[in-house]
Amino acid sequence: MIPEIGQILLIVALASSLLQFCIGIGFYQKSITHSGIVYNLSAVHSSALLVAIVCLGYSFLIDDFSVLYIALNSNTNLPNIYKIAAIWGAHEGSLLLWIFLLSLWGVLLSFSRKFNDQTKTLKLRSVAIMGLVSFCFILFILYTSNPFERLFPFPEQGRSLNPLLQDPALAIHPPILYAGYVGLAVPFSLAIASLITINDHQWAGIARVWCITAWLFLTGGIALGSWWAYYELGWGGWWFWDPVENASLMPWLVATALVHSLVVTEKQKLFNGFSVLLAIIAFSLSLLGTFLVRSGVLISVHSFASDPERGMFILALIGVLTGGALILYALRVKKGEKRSLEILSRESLLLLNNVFLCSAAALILIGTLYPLIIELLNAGKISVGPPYFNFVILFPFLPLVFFIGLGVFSTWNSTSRNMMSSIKWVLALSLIAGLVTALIVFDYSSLLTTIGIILAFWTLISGLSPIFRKTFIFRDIIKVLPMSLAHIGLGLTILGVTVTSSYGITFDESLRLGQSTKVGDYVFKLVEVNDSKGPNYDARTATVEISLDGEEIAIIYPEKRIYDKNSPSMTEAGIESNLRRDLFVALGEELGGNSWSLHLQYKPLLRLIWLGPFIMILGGLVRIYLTKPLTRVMS
Amino acid sequence: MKRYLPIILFLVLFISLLQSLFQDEMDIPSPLIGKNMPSFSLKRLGENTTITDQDLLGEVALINVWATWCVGCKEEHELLLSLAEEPSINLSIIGINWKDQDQLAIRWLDELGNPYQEILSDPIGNTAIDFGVYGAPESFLIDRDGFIRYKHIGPLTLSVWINEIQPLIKELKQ
Repeated sequence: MIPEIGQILLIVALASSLLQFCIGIGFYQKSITHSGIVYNLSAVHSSALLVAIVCLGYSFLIDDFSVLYIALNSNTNLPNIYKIAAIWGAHEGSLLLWIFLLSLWGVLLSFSRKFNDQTKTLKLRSVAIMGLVSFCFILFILYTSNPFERLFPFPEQGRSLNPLLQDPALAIHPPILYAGYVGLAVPFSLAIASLITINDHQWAGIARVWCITAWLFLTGGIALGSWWAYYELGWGGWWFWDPVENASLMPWLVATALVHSLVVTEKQKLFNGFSVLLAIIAFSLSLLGTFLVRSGVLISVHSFASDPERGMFILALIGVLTGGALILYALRVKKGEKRSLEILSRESLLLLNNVFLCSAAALILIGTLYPLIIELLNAGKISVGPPYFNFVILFPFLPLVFFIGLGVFSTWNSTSRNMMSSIKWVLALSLIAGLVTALIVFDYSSLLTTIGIILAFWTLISGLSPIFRKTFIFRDIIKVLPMSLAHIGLGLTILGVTVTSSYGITFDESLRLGQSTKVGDYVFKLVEVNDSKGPNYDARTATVEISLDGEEIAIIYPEKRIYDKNSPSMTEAGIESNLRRDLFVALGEELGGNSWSLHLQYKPLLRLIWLGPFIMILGGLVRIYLTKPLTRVMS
Repeated sequence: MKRYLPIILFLVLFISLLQSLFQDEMDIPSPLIGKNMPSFSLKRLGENTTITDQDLLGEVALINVWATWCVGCKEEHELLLSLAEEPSINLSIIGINWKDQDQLAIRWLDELGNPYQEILSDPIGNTAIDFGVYGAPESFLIDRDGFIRYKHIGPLTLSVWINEIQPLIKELKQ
């Protein structure tokens, strides 16, 4: 009974989102007297989806294996918390969550008070567009991916949830990432609504806060995913350039560009068309990511034939939404006023960097789509993969990072006269800090490493400087704080990435019990290996002692877990970390004669890779929750 | 004109994606057919000895690219096993374990059975790239002189075996 209720609620959501679009867009009546109905419809369709998710969750908790999705993704031995997480453990349920979060953004937009009399129509039309996006995806879920489909005859016991997914970080990672993906639907809707209504810069100021919020979720989701991959996948990497990761990085890059472009559009009334285009592209890349991940086109070119319907459907949705948006853009976008740009003014530098960010996204897109591209061109072999990405990403990123620093010191409309004088010191400081780090703290590794470290300090120190540059007025500081934090975070991430990849040590070694080996300055000793039992797995735990200069500093316990006999064992790495370095041990195979293979790593400054995004998020939070209220209170 | 650029670029991308959905993978001609197989030197799975392309010469061989993470590989596994076990066929089946972990691959073969005479481990995928592989499973038929005579993309099926590979092997063995 409960699954049928869920099913009916999906249909209710479908109908109400369609009405939300039709009434809101103004087919029926051009005036906006019906706006209240439209906003309530968005609440109705969101609530219906929420209750549908609750229905699915309830069926999971009572182990209703007559529902196909539950039989495939849960079993009675699963701890309750992971039964909840199993809701988004596979395609159908994660899509349901995706759509619910989308509708939630729609509700927040509907009841937002940030709109005035001039932008009332903009608000109504954008809520209508949100309704259209929702409608498309609810149709998709009902047609091709219904989570409430029944199974008859139903099994006594369900299949296991992928053991990789039984992890707290991964359980909360998809909702956060999805919230970011679908959050980009709001700037998209506002951009489209702007094109069909007033068609000027007014949407930019409103869209900026929404875009920052979505960007926060994306940043958090990507960082969590990378952190999960690091300690759970077992081999100590933190970024693999696989299509799923790329699908989240591309929208992030374009959303970052959008945040900056919206500043220019809002404050200088410039680049309106470019901002609209970025808003369209950012959301389209979210959709494309969904297509690539969900259709299976890339994960294995061959698995696709088994379910062409989903791929077709998502592609059709991309055609309608992105294609429609771009046609509208071509027809409606106004030529911006001709204004000559000073080459070192803030608007030029922001434009330049947005172009670099977009190029980075484009290069990643090309690399991600390469199997399709060679297939179509029949061009023979192209070697793509981490080597390609690690190499090409430098071309947009090196100049990007350099200009980020310059941008901080620039002023609107003109080349700042003080620019050179403030830059001098920052440049000198960055050079000193960078060279000391690259040559003295660590040893010289390569020119690229040295440049990378100097640029990291350049971003970091130039990000810090606005806080210290002015006389200490709190109001001025709170204004520059979000930007400063974001740039400091970026600098830290760059520092972490450069140092870890250049100075990290990684190798495999077989050790007998009681034997030890040296990883950099650290001595790792394999003390013992024991069997133990977890709630739904058998484990084999090693005890590894780490010492530095003869002094014991930590004991860690890398583990291998076997959840069920038919699936491969999971590696729970043993990690000892502080801000300066990570020491990492993964337990490999038993080699006989009391000896074991171990995967050992020493990774300096690895934590900065995740500390950076955390600080960026702080910056965004300050911008959303503190800047406006505080500046208002103080003026 | 500039304003139409985004939609034009998008249409190109859209049509490519659409075409990739409909592309019949079996029909993609491989530029490598009729050419010498790429040279390689790979470790045997789970061992420290290496094997090169030269070691495969002298016999007709079916090179099968597989991985434990690939669903299609499980599908074709039964067929490969029965080919390996049938004495009248007398074909050497060579596996290339692609972008995989040795320990997982060994466990997989322990459980499902091992149809391969030799298994090469290609964890980074360089050799597979030289073979023009862009997904698993893929299979290549190599003649005695090391020329690639046939390529199949996707899981091998009985009908592919009977209609395409078996006749070709007969021809090559004469």
